[in-house]
Amino acid sequence: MSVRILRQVGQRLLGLVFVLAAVVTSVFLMMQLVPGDPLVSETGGVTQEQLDRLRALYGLDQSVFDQFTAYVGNLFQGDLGRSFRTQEPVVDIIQQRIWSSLELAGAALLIVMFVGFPLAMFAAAATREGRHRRLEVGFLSVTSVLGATPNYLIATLLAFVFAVQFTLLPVGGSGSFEQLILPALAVAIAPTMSLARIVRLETLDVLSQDYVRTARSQRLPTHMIYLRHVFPNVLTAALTVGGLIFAEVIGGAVIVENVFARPGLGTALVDGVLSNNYPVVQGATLVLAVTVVVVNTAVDITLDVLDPRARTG
Amino acid sequence: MLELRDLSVRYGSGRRSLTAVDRVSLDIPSGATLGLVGESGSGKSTLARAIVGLLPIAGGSVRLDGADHTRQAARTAPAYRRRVQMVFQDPHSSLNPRMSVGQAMVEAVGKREGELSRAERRAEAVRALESVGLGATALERYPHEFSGGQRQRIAIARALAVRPQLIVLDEVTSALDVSVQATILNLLTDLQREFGLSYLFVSHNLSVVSLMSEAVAVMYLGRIVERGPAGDVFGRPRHPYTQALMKSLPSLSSARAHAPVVGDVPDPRNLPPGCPFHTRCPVGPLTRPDRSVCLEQDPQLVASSQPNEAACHFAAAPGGAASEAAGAHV
Amino acid sequence: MTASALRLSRTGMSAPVLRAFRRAPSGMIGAGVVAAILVVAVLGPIVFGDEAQERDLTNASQGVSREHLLGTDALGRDILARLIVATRLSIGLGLASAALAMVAGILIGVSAALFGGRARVIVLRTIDTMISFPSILVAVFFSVILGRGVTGALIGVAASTAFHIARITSTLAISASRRDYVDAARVLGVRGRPLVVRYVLRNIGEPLTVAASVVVGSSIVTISALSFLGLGPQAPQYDWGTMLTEGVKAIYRTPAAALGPAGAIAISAFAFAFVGEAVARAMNPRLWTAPSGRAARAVATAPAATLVEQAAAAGRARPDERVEVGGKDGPPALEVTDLVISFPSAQGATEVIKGVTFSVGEGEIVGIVGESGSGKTMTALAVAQLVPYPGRVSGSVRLHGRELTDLSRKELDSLLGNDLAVVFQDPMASLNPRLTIGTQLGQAVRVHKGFSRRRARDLAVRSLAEVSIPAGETQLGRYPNEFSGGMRQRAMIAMGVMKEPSLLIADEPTTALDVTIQAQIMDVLHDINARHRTSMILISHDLALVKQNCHRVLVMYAGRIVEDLEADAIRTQAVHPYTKALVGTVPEIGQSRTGPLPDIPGEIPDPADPPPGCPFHPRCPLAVDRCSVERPPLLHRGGGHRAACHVANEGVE
Repeated sequence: MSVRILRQVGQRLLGLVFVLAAVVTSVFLMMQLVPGDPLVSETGGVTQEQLDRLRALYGLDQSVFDQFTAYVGNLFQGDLGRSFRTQEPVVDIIQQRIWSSLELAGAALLIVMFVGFPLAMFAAAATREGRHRRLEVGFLSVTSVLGATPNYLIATLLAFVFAVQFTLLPVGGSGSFEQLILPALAVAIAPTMSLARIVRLETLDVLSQDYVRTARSQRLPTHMIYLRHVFPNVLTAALTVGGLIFAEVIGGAVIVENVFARPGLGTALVDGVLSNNYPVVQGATLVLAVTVVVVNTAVDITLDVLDPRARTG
Repeated sequence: MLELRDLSVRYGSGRRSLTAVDRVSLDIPSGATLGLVGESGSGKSTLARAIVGLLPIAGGSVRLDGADHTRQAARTAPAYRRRVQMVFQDPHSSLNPRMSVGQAMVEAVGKREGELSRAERRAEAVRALESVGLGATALERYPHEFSGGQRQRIAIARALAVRPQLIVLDEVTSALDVSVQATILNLLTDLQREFGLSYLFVSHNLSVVSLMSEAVAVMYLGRIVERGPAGDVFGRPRHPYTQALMKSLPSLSSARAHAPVVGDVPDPRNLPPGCPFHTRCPVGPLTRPDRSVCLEQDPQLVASSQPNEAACHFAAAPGGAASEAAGAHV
Repeated sequence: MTASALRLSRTGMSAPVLRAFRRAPSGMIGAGVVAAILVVAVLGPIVFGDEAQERDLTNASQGVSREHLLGTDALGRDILARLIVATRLSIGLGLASAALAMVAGILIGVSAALFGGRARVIVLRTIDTMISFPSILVAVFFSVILGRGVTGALIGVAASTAFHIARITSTLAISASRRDYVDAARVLGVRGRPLVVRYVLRNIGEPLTVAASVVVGSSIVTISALSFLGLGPQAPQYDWGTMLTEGVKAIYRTPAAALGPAGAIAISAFAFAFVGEAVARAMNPRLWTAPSGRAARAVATAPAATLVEQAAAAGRARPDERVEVGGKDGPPALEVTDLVISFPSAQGATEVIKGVTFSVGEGEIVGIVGESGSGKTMTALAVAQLVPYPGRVSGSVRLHGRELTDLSRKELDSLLGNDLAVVFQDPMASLNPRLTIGTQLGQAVRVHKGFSRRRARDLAVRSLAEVSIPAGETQLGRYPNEFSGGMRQRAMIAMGVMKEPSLLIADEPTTALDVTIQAQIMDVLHDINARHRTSMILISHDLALVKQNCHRVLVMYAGRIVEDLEADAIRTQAVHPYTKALVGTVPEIGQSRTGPLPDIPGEIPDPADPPPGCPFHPRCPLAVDRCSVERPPLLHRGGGHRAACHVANEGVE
């Protein structure tokens, strides 16, 4: 590992800290910037005295700066506040729901990688140098249509077909594998299409590179060319959009959870917004945002390390 | 006309900086051509870009007709731009694909001194195109409709439209076929005669430079290693690098010679002390361990009885390193 | 003439853009649909407003019927009417959000290109961070702080999309600003707004237009997603998204209630996308000079078979062109007979190699010289059986007597993998940057000769030493980017020599290298030729290089060999006018300028449209009438010298 790489990794980690600070501040400001009084709608029909007491309880009567320091301090102690509605600690709410979301996102990611990648590489091999123009048109049409269809619609259609018409799979809830299939599919379709399009273009680009021509001129067997020369380079290129694909998966999960009534972070977030339960909204947003940022930084660092130029001092 | 004194151009800063041009001193005469020869990494293109104001100067000075223009603001000012123009290497990327030839020419004419009416600008655009052998029919067409040679002519016409005194020609024929090169070179010579232009002709192609230039400077790793009248530099080179170039150059009238230089150009970021060429010099410390001065001292351009100056510790004798090189080389 | 130039400069590009746009059918359809959608958006609430509000509780949640084409909702209202009325809000929000996102995104993206150094890095990093957040999360954030409703949804979706646009714009703008024409404009004195608009923005307009149309579609979709979740327009406002929410609740009984709004969303997204793509294509000046529809179609209707036959007949080798078999010392290493390579084109088929016949003897170095369009590289590719798709090759290629076109894929791989080495032009790109030199050098012998890894490594070290790369063991573990250009090319040669081929093809091996390094590479090739008696083909545009380094030279022009003679004789005994002209254009150092340089007037012919008769005759100083009618055959003039010229060959049998 060279000094240059260590310095770059250090820079990334520093950037991560900076971004996390910005995220925490933004999440904190969410409650401050809400139009009107955050407490009012939740507690309709309460007296002014009770309102003041609640305000003191949640620390909303202090100055913004004090509230901020309290918030950050609490964060470091694992305290994300309490739900306006149930007084339950937000941390507990999140802990109860996070597994369901992780399951969903994880399953969807697996589908995206293991379906999208091979599909795209195969399509690239078949359409390289202008072969099978019609197949190319078909590929692009199908991927753009499926990719543009809203995932909540796909989710609903899937539920309709498999749960109502054929009663094969359950709709709603989480915990079992069967309950994971339809939501994972619904989440995975759009990102799979995005990844497939990008990977196909990257594969075509790699196939047109001079070093592939060299391998061909050496009459190496096709499988060797693809596995050893094409795939590693495509993988790294695909990693650069890994962050975006991950964001698509997380975003999709948030919506699809609501369609399938899975008790996850997405439903917590939306329910919280609809009932003005700001601590819950803050907690869910924070966890989702931090996850995304950390994963992106990890991907960036991996790319830096894998870069062949990293090996030279 | 244009004087460069101890000019340096740097990329980056601090520890990671690269001195692409290192204390270069040159004179570009009025109405004549100075050829600038060097291989990749020699800094010649960087120097060309610095002269036309695309890069800042880190040290030394630039004087145009005696007036100082070292600050980059001075070289990006309209007054300077009207007198110094540039033609680039790649005809396929030096013209804006979204502008018609007419639009590009009218824009260039508009940068000339003085106010011209729209009609006058159009007429001047046509005139500039005609002087490079193209006609008014080119006005409405787009660059992609022309061949490489024609595009290069358009680029020359555009540089000419401003009525400059000095044109920097950066590898202008390197991307063209051999049969087209000669046409462009002839055109450039005719234009020089007709308009009294000065040229800085930058190229890695020694033969072409020898045909076009009255004076020549040879660059290696950012420095001038030899300079003087073209006939002397190419005919009786005094610096071992120039000699190696001449020997490596294939020619129709002689047989092949073994490669005179070993190794590759060192990394410009990690230059060893002393002479930049000593790592490859056929008559340097590699073959003659007694020549340790090459490892310690950076040689300066040394004048002698011959008209060409060479930056070599052992070039002082008449015939300089030439005879020694001939003897040392098997 | 000048009037039209004036018109052009005033109207910019609008006239030809419209013409090009009209030519694309998908664009016209999309434009039609978009126009229809906009009309519905504007007029919908006016015409159907009342009907959309009519409640009819007795007919609530009905399916498709004649009075209600999409059924009714929970309050008995006609869904189709509501769909039409909702168009205004959905499209309006989508367009507004997209417009906001485009303006903000382009401003941010262009600024990243205009800044340099630290500022640029900061802007780019910020963009990258912002786009790593899921759009829905950003949208929810803004919904919360701006309150649930139209404004929140609008700003939220725009904020997220803006950074995606900024990313695309910054990448495009940065690469556009690196092009020479931007520097050229700067040198002219163009600066500020004209520089940004004319030189940067206009050149990134195409992809941005496509992006804009995609953004409109995705904005419509994302805003409806927010509405679906309850974060969009609040009651009594409604858009397609809120209608979809209601429809989804009833989907099992009355699917039309959901399919209606879903269809509307999808159709609008696609229509805008088609229009965008068509506009983007129309903006490309390259399309403005393409032949109009009718002309293009007329050319293409000539039956392809006839055209191919005609072209083939014109390029056939005459019987007197057979090459004497047997090179200098015994049977030739390579014999190419009547090689023709054609590519399908609008006119049927274009021949880029029009019947080439030559041979390379054992241990002989043959040079192939030509300019662009001569076909020299394609000839090499044909010998190596690497002609790219969709090229068609005909003719015979025999390597040591074995006919390559007869072999199966497996036999070909085995023969060529062992017996032929190719060295390409750009050593920087010809080696895989992610694999070590050792791995790449060893591949061929391990596959084709079955060597073990140890044996392959030993052989690699020896080969590297042969090309003057010492300390082979350490070098094997290095990556290509650690080598300089000259070293990489030597490694490529080592890679080829390792398998002890009988033929090595070097295609412009030193064009990308400096002249001093070129000399080193030539030394290496000669060394290999002397030591292993490897036959070689050296392809180059540099006549002097070929003369000095080859035994024999083939001069190619427009897909044919025009002369074949001994390298030493080029300057003195060449007879073909093109060869002589080429010799004339090679400047000799020290040669004094006594007038204009000899050049070759005219242009290299288009392979699809060659001149009749001799391809060189329009540029030839010796051309006579016969030259424009009859193609000169490549005739033997004795001593292995062949030339294809009527005038030069007068009196030759």
